[in-house]
Amino acid sequence: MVKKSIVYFDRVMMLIEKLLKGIIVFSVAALVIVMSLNIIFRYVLSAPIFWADEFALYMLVWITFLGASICIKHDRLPAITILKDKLNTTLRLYLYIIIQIAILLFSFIILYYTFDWITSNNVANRVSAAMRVPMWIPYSILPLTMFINVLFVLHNILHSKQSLKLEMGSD
Amino acid sequence: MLIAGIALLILLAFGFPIAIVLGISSVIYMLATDSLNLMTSAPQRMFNGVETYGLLAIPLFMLVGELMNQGGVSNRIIKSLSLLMGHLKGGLAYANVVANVFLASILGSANAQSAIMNRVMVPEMEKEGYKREFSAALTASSSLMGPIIPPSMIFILYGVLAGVSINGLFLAGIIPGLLFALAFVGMIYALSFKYNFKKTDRASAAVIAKYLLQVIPSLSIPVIIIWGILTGVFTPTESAAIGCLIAFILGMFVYKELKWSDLSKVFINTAVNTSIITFIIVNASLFSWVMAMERIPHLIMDFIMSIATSPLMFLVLVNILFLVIGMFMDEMAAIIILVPILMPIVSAYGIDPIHFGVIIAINATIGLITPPVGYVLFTTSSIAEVKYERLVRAIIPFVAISLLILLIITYVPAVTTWIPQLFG
Repeated sequence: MVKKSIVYFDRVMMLIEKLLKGIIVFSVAALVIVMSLNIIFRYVLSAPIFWADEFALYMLVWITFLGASICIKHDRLPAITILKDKLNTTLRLYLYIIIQIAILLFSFIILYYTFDWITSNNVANRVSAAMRVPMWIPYSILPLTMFINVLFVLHNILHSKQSLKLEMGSD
Repeated sequence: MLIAGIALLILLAFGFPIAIVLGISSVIYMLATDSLNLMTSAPQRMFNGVETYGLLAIPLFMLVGELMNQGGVSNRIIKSLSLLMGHLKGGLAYANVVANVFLASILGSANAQSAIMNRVMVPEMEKEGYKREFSAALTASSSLMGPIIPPSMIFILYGVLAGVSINGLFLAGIIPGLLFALAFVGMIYALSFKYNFKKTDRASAAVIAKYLLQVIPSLSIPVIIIWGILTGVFTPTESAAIGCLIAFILGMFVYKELKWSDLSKVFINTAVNTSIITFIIVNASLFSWVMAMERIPHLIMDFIMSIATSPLMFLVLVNILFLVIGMFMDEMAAIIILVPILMPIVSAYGIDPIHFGVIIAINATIGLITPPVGYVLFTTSSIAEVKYERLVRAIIPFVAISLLILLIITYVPAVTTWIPQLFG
C-alpha cells in the first residue's frame, strides 16, 4: 500500500516537473519573441510595442521562480560544498535532509503569506500598468512554485538515500 | 546580532543553498521580531526583486550562448582560427587564446565559454602533442576573458546592483580583457621554447577561405553589440535580443546544426542557469531589507572606514576579500551580497564606480580558477577529463599572471577609464 502510493506520488512529481518545464519553454520563447519583435517595431516601424517591457519583466520573474523549482528538485542551487564533500555518507544524509527541511520551511512560510497577499483587496483589484491584466495572474507564479517546492522537497526527502547515492556515484 | 551573523556563516559553510540561507534568515528575523506587516509585504518584495530592465539581458545572453554552442557557431569560430594560426610554433595555443577573445565578445560568462572550448580545443591540442593539463589550464584561464570583454553577465549584474551604466562598464572592460589575451600570448611564446611546441601543416588558402566565409556572419553579433553601445542606439538588453535572433538564424538556417527539437532543451537550460543567479537576487532583496532595518550596512561601512585609511587601502581590502570569498563561494552570489554593501563606501572614498566594477569583475573571475572551489576548474576538469589536482597544479602560473593583471587594473585606473572617457 505504502509502496504503491510512493510510486503514484513519484509519477505525479514527474508530471509536475514536465508541466513546469512546459511553462519555462513558453516563458523563454515568449520573452525572446516579444523582445525581438519590439526592436523591429521600434526601429523599423517606429511604433514600439507599449507593453513589451512589462511583459518581458513578468517573464523574467517567472523564469526565476520556475527555474529555481527545477534546481530545488535536482539539488542544483549554488552552495558552498567544500565541507559537505568531506563528510561521511551517514552525516551527509542527515545534512541533506536538514537542508531539505530548511527549504521546506522557507517555501511553506512564503506560500502562507503569499495567499494573504494575493487575496488582499490591494492586489485583487489591481491591474498592470501597460497590459491591464489583473495582477494576480503574473503574481500567481509565487504561490504556484512555492507549493511545488514543498512537494519537490517532500519527494527529495522520501528518496534522499537514492539521490545521495547517485550524487556520490557521479563524483 | 553577532550571533545571528555567525549562525548565517555556519549555515553557508555546511552547504545550505546560498539563496535559501538569505531567504530563510530574513523570514525568521521578521517572524522573531513580530514584524507581521513586513512579512505580509515580503512576497511583493520578492516579486519586485528581479523586475529590473537591465537584468533581462541575463537570460537573453544566456540564450545567445546556448544557441551558439548548440548551433555550431562557436565550433566554427574555433576551427577557423585553428586553421589560420596552426602553422605557427605553438599555433594552436595562440588560436585558443584568440578564439576565447572572439567568443568573449559574444558570450557573457566564463562557464559557457570554457564548456565549449574544452570540448573542442583540448582534444585538438592533445592530438598535436600538447600536454593535456597545459591545454586544459590554458583554456580555463583564457575563458576568464568571457565576463571581462563585453558582453558580460558580471557587468550587467554589477551595473544593476550599483546603479552604474552597463554600457560604460562594457566599454571599460575592453582593454583589461585584451590585457589578459596579451599576457597569455606572451606566456605561450616564452613557454614555446622550453617545451618546443609543435606546428601543424599549413592549411591551403582555399580551405581557410572556406572556413572564414562561414564564420563571417557570426561576427556580426559582436559588431552589433559594440556598435549599439558606442552609438547608444541599443540598450545591452536589446543587443542581447538581437544576438539571440542572429544566433538562432545562423544555427537553424545557415549552419543547420540547430534542430527545432533542440529548442526546448536550450530554453530549459537558459532558464535554469538564469534562475541560479536571479533566485539569489530575489532572496537577497529580502535580506538587504532586513539588514537595512538593523542598520548593518552602516555598521560595516563604519568598520571598514576605520581600518582602511585611504582609498588605496580599501581597494587592497576588497581585492583580498573577494579572493578569499572566491575560493569558496559562487562569484555571482558574492557580488549580489557584497556590492550593495560596498557601494556607499566606494562613493565615500570617491572611487570611480566603473573602475570599481572592473576590479570586482576581474577579482570575481579569478575566483573561478582558484582552488579549492572554482567553477571553471570543475567544468574544465570534467569536460577535458583532467584530474582536478593536476589541473590545479598546471593552472598556478596562470593564476599568478591574472593576479598581476588585477594589481595593474586596481592601481592604474587609466587602463579602465580611458575608453569610456573617450566615448563618454
